[in-house]
This record gives sequence, C-alpha cells and structure tokens, in this order.
Amino acid sequence: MSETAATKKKILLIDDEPFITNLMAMNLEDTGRYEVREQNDSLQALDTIMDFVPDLIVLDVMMPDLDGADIIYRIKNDSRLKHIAVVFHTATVRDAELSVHGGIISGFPFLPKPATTEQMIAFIEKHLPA
Amino acid sequence: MSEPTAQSPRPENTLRQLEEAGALSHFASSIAHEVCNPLSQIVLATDLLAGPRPLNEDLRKKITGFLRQGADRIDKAMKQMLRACAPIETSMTPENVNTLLDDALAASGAAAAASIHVEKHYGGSLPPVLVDRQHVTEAITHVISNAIDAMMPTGGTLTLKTELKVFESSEREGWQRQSWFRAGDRAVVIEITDTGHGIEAAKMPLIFEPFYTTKPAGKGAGLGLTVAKKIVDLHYGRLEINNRREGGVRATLTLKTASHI
Ligand SMILES: Nc1ncnc2c1ncn2[C@@H]1O[C@H](COP(=O)(O)OP(=O)(O)OP(=O)(O)O)[C@@H](O)[C@H]1O
Ligand SMILES: [Mg+2]
Repeated sequence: MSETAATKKKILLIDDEPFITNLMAMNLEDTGRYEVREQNDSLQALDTIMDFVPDLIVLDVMMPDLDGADIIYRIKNDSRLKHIAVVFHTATVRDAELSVHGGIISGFPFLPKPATTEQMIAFIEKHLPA
Repeated sequence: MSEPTAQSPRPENTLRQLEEAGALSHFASSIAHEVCNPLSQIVLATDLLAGPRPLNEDLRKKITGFLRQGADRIDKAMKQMLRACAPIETSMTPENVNTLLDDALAASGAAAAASIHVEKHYGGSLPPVLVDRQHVTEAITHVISNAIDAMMPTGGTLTLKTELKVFESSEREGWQRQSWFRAGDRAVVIEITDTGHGIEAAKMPLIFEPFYTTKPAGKGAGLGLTVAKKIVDLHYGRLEINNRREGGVRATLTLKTASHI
C-alpha cells in the first residue's frame, strides 16, 4: 500500500502543543501516504515552510508569539509560498474569534479540535492540491 | 441588608452586558481551548492505539502518557474554573487597610524584587474596614502581582496609596448592588499604581473574565482579577482598573468602612 517517497504528499503540522503534533504525525505516517513534519515554535514556522515546502499546512490558531493569522498572512503575501494549501486546526471555531483576527482567517477551511484521524485524513484529502 | 427589588442584581442584564463586550464568547472560547486541546490529544492517542503500529513497551508508555496528561489537563482546567465560580465563605473582622496592603505586598514578593521601587503613601488614622482578612489580602495580592508582571523585566515604580473618602452623592455601576455607595457613605480607597505596559483599550472589557490572560501558558491562568473582583463584590466594594495617562495602570479598590456595612 505504501507509496514511494516521491509520490507521498508533504504535510506540515504547526501547533504549539508538541503532544498534538506528535500524535497527528504518527497517525498520518501510519497511513503510508504522507511525509509529515512538525513545528511547535511559531517563530520558526516560516523557515520550516521554506525548507520543507509542504503540499499542505495544518495550522493552529491560538499560539504564543505568532498566531495562526500572522502566519497565514505571511504565507499568502509571499509569492514563493502562496500556492501552498493551508487548513486550520483549532479548538475555537467561532465568529467572534474570526473577527478578532481581523477576518483574515475566515476564508480558510477549519477542522475543529478534537478531530479523529479519520476526519483529519478526509479533510486533508479534500484540501490537498491535485 | 435587603435592597428594594428594583435595585437587586439582574443576572440577565449583566449577561447581556458581558455578551456585548465580547466577554462571554471569550469565556466560551477559553474553555474550548483548555478542554478541546487535551481532548484532541486523547482522541488521537486512542486512534494510535487502534492503528496498525505494533504496540511495543515504548509505544504503550507513550500512549498512556498522552492519555493521562490529557485527562489531567482537563481535570485541572475544570477545577480552576470551579474554584473561580465557587461560593466563598467569609468571616468578617475589623481591619486596617494599611496592614492588609503590607501583607499583600509581602505575599506578592514585590518588596523582594530589586528592580521594583515601592512607594507608600498611607493615610494615617483611617477607620477600620469590616472584611474577611484572608480573602481581601488575596484580592490585593492579585492586583499587586499584575502590577509587578506588567513592569518586568525592566522594573518600575509601584505606588500604594490609601485615603478616606466620603461620598457626596450616591454612585453605582449598572444594576450591581455590590458597587453601590450612598451619599454620606465613608469608604477607604486603596490605590495601586504601576509604571508598566498598561492594558490595550480594546481588551479592557475582558480583564475580569475568567481565563483572560496575555501571559504565556504556565505563567498566568487569567483568574487573578476574576477572583479579586468576586471577593470585592462580596464586600460590597468596588474594584476599578484603568490605564493612566502617564502610562501604566491604576487599580482603585474602594471598601466601605466598618460602621457602614
Ligand atoms: N497592572 C496591569 N498592567 C497591565 N496589564 C494588566 C494589569 N493587570 C491586569 N492586566 C491584564 O489583565 C490580564 C488578566 O489579569 P488576571 O490577573 O486576571 O490574570 P493573569 O495575571 O494573566 O493570570 P493569573 O492572575 O491567574 O496568574 C493580564 O493577563 C494582563 O494582560
Ligand atoms: Mg494576575
């Protein structure tokens, strides 16, 4: 079943909680379909994106230093990165929360926490660029 | 003690005010954050357990660790929240506010911080206030700790001032009986000012909300002012927090004197 490294889709997980990215990474890798990398320090997120060049980023919203809105803003304003698909994975999917972040986040797909691995995979597949 | 019904607290009204300030949704999203993250961890750990990965001793330890830690976090969040919402038992004694301030100052560790300069302007021969000593000292400690946090790491000046105030006209906030002062009431006013970074104007309506914090995880739970306000309300006192024009924050705690409770 497992695909060769070249055909595996690259997924980057950005969340300040290492336990969550660690578990997500193991569950996603176990499908044999993804190459996964984790980043728990929001300040290093941009460097990791440049370096890893993922197909899709799963991004937390509430993080210290740079939050999800800051990061998406930078991605979408960088011609080298703006093609990358971004989805949010967050505990707080609320209108109030969206407006607090200047509405920047509102255009992007959300996967609410807690999500099962099955839901996560379906969500990722739906938003992965062809 | 009992006020005419028109002046009794109106919870539905208070709730609406909170909602308008965006505070209720903040409360809801804070709880969501504190609970959904560990819940996410638990769900993903059970997925891993059910998945294809061979379960060796290492993985078993790791998974039980994830599950336990997730459950502990939810437990802790719930306990903190319940504590913030729980009724407080009081035992009232006449106290001198200057002594309470000194006790709170000692408890906050402010006096020990080398970069914090403490200035005291205590009023002499103030009438006693009838308070629960332990709780009011705790409330003041929360306020002083915030002042210190706001000045760190650079340091600054913490000013503590006490004085007697006689109300010339009746004053109250909204529907809350707690902060109602009548003309002729005598109160002691405690002012705690700092030279720290102040509070963003848009965030002002949130500072008394449970779990509202701008401090890093593990540093602040966002409950200090929630608890302080609750204690002050129990004493029918008033706690106001404002930015100072010169920078920093002024916290004003007004407590009725013993003969007026
Ligand atoms: N003197 C102050 N100067 C600047 N900001 C303040 C001050 N007092 C309170 N705040 C702001 O209000 C927030 C809420 O304060 P509160 O005491 O309720 O929680 P906390 O200090 O963050 O955490 P905890 O008190 O539970 O350790 C703080 O995080 C801070 O942003
Ligand atoms: Mg505090």
